[in-house]
Amino acid sequence: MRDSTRQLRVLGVGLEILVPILVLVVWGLFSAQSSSFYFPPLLDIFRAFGDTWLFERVDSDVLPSLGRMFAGYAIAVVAAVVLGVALGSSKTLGRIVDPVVQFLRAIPAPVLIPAGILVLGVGSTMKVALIAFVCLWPVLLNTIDGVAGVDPALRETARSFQITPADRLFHVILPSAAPQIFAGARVALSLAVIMMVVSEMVASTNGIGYFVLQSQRTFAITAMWAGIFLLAILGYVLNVLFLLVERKALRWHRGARAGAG
Amino acid sequence: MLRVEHLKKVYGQGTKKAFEAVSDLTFTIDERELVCIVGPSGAGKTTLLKMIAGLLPQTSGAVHLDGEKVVGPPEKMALVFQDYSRSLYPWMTVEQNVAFPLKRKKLGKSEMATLIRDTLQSVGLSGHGQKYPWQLSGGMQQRVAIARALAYQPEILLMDEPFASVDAQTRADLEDLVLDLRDRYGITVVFVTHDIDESVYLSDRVIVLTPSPTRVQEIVDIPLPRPRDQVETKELPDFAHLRAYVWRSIKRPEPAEVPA
Repeated sequence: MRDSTRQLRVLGVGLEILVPILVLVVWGLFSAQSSSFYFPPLLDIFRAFGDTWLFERVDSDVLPSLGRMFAGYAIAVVAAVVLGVALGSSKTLGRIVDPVVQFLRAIPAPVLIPAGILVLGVGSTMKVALIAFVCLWPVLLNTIDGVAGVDPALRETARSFQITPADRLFHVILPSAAPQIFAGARVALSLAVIMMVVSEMVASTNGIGYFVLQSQRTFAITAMWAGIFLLAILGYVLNVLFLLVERKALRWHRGARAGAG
Repeated sequence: MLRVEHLKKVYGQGTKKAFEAVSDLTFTIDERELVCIVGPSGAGKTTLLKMIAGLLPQTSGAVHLDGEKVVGPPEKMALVFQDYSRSLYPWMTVEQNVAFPLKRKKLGKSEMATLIRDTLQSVGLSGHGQKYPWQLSGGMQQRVAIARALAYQPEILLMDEPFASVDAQTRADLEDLVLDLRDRYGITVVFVTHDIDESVYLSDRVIVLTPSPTRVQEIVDIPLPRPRDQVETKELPDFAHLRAYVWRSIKRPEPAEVPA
């Protein structure tokens, strides 16, 4: 029994690594003889990838992109958690603000770029602000939900032991809401990547999005594909890193759920 | 001493759905006494306990603890809830759970460690301090909740159907643990239960409540010898009589109209 589950796990991990490699190999083989201008051989794309991203344009494009993304993301998460705790703690307040929140979050953020350019200019401030705007909503809504949903028994226990408000916030309410906050933050992370790219395509002089668009406009198609590749890798790596942090922070949550089930 | 005077609780007062959960309760509980509160289900037992604990404001009447009116959770009081799985913090280890309410007591580091170690030992959880609650069985989790309450060093321990969701054998063990801890720590215990055997086995006195809107049906003295023993006490003829007496008291139809 134990042997077979272990074999299954080894098989699973093996396939996880093998399948992507297989896809790349098949793609490489099929495209090797390609003379299409738009779909260059995979190996050429890899070569372009190496030339551009390792590490020539890291300083000029990758770092500015990532810097703006993380700045916007961090602002959003902090603001969303602070606001979410306030709105989640008071039913009345939550209800009053809900229509406004729903209205604002319904705005597709890219449409704010023209307005953002007018108000904040074409620089990094506008991009950071828009990334923060996009990332705010999923974290905010999940935090409100998580805070409002803290088990009354946990709150009452804290009250009966006269736990101070600060300790209640940091050791009862936030940990209890953490699984939902993390879920929102994960959605926000992928939105951050998208908004980073979009904002760089409209008004920018550097960044990965700018590079991809510029490559396309100058018919540097392999470079364009290389840029897309980099974005995919970035998204993947960010997600993996996020899951690692989440796993560590919410170890108790998985254990508690497994214990209950 | 705990004094409950003309305590009354109406939910949603002034609205159409106003519901009188507790009508008029008066009783006192002496220091170091172990009193069980029993009553038919829906008798407002938990409502009563929450008012005593200062977690729920009463509509009228008052609760006094050592002469002081209870308006919020008193420092001399600790609470053990029925649902241990929801009252222990799953992101804290056993030790952290026990230590959490002690932060404001400003104990020294070694003093704190000793207190935690001693209380865990007294509930039979030595060596489990580093585990998380969800890694323990139900009975052990309830022991953690009891340890947390004891480490808080209360004068009075309120327990709300604490053993309702553990199996019979564990329940017997935990009952004996409560008796043992009461003797060792010299604390007053107010124990809400719907189990008549449990109430007779544990108590010095049993307070029988009427169905909602709740009044005191009767207060029954339990003069069974101590120390009590799960087998010997329960085979005493007196135990059987008291048990039957409390049973009938609960089942008795609404007492004659209360004289005006």
